[in-house]
Amino acid sequence: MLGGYIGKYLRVNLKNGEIKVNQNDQDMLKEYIGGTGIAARILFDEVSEEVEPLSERNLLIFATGPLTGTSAPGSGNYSVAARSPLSGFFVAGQANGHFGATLKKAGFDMIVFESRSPDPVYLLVENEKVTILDAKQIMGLGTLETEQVLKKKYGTEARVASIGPAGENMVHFAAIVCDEGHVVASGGLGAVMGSKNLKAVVVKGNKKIPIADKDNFLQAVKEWTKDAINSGLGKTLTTYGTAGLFASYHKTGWVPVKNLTTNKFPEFENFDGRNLRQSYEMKKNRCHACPLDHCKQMTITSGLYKGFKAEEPEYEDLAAWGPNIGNNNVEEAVVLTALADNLGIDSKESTFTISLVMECYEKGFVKKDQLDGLEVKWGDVEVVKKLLYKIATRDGIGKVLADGVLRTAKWVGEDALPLAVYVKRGYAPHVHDLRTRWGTLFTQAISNMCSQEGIDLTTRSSPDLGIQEPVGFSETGIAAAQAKSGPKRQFEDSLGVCYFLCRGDSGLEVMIRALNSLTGWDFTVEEALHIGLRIINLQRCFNIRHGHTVEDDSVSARILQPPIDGPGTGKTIADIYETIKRNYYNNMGWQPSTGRPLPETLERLGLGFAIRDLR
Amino acid sequence: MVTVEFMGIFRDMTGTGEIQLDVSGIINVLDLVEELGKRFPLIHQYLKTFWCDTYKVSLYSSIAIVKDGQICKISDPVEDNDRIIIILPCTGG
Repeated sequence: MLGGYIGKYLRVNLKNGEIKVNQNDQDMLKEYIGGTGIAARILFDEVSEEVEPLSERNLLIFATGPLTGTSAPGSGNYSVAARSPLSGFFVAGQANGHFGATLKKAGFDMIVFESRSPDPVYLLVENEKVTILDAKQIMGLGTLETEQVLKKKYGTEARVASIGPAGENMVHFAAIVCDEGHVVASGGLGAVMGSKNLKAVVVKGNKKIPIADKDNFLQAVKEWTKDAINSGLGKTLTTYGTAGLFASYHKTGWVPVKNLTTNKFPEFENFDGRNLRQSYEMKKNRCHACPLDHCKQMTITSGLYKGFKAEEPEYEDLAAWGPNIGNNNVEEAVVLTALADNLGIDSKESTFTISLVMECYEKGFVKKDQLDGLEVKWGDVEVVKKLLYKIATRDGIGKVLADGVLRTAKWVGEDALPLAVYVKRGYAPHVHDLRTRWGTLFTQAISNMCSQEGIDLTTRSSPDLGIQEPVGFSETGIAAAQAKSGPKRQFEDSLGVCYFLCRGDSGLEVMIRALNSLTGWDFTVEEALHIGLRIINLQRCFNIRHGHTVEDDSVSARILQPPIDGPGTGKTIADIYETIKRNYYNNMGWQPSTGRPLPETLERLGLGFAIRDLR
Repeated sequence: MVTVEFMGIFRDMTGTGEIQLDVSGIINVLDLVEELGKRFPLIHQYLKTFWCDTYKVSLYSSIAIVKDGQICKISDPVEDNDRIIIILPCTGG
């Protein structure tokens, strides 16, 4: 048996209640590894072009990787994938915490949900015993409340992944939340879960994960862990969390402020992790096997929100609920983050949808009577809370906002379209001001999985990929960096480890040594990148099948406008964007004019069966 | 003189948010980084973790030097009145 895998997975038909236990296809696992990779292959094989994202024929896949649940650093990770209701394309999101590790210890590497339950249900997987149970009593509860109820019932060692009201109401950017705030955020996977009438998945177990070569595995893990701890990112996360990047990002013009209308945010130091860690009570909330220990449960100890407890927000949450909506009070940002998590809403899409409405309201493009009588002004946190509830319940104006930033812009009218912040077919990017972060911009603009596909090498090198210098604003450099880092990232996303633990200087080499000694395989770095490239191309073919065109590899007009102030004043990617795109297509072995993989590229990757989707 | 601002963990390593530095003897960014390593042992120790025969290559994965909103390379010149920010290299969201 392969090390790292339990060896079997579940297929759960929610319509007829049939639960099948299938043996893993080991040949397929060697080609796609697990996590995002294996999910991409299953979705490609089974979700044909006429399957709508919220129809019962869409699949919802929870997939661990071979490293999930082991002692490899950051190995609480798992992926969730489906056809996205937000983009119409493939989406894979990831989360950390303990759910993924516990799913595997409960006895299964993956769960594939099919069809739709007639009544609300949740799935319980306890030491290989699988039951579909009535969820009526927990419907309407937030994700945090759902977790509390189910852990009270099944014990604190049970782990819960659930949707909130947003998922139940199929908000197009509804999220799945586990472990008190670890969020599978992108692409509306919570809506797909809600469309299946599936409220939660509860896992519990203590099955051992086999290891092929224990001594070498532990040695590789030791080196990998040391590398991760000693990296600058590791030190930052341990000391200050991702919020420890806030002040730096503001200094370089990367923090989004008021829908990208300005870069000025004088209160930035208050939002930095240095301030949070000094000012508030922090309690450890470590993910499975994480040596960085960056996740914390925080308590606000004075003022209006004295006693308020929540997961310490990540940098993006703080940016989303602070400067991007014109809010300069960090405690309000903490409260809004917790609210979004509990409602089960992706902060990325919701902040850029709300900030669009704020700018439109300011400019008079939308009026109070169109917004249920609300004056949606910059920084009005109470109004934002109301809007989040309205979005989650699709109430009033929430019915419009629940479809995301581009659809909201179209509803407002043509005055709003130039203001909207989105990529590809209209979903919001990660919460950065992308206008001077071209690497991050591009890796999202061409992404095939509704999030960031590669690694931003604007400011750093990646010696393991042969990229010796930061690519900065270079049209050839950015294209080359994406073509090399995309496969690396997709391979990592298939392993079952946290993104932050993959950023050390050893790069892929130590991860592959760990993987090989765990599984008994014998991959090289080149073979790993080949697998990552295969995964990207398969996602691409899936998306082409579902209507992707070259125009979809784009960003909105607002992102192409240069900043009017701040470090990036006057800078825009607009003049060279199409050149970067063409260079990238060339690097990938895709047709330069259409972005479609060439048949010979697919053949080389063992994807000849996908060529028919290109016709 | 140049102004060097330290962000994040570099502020911890130097104990300060900002210093003024005489540019005599500093021609380019690599000279600046080496000077900072001499003045601040914790910076030297941090960079030394990545120090090897190809340390110049690894440097870019451990430190980013920003001037006028641009990421600098080690060969980029350092001039009088420059304002330079030392940050951790970002990798994305």
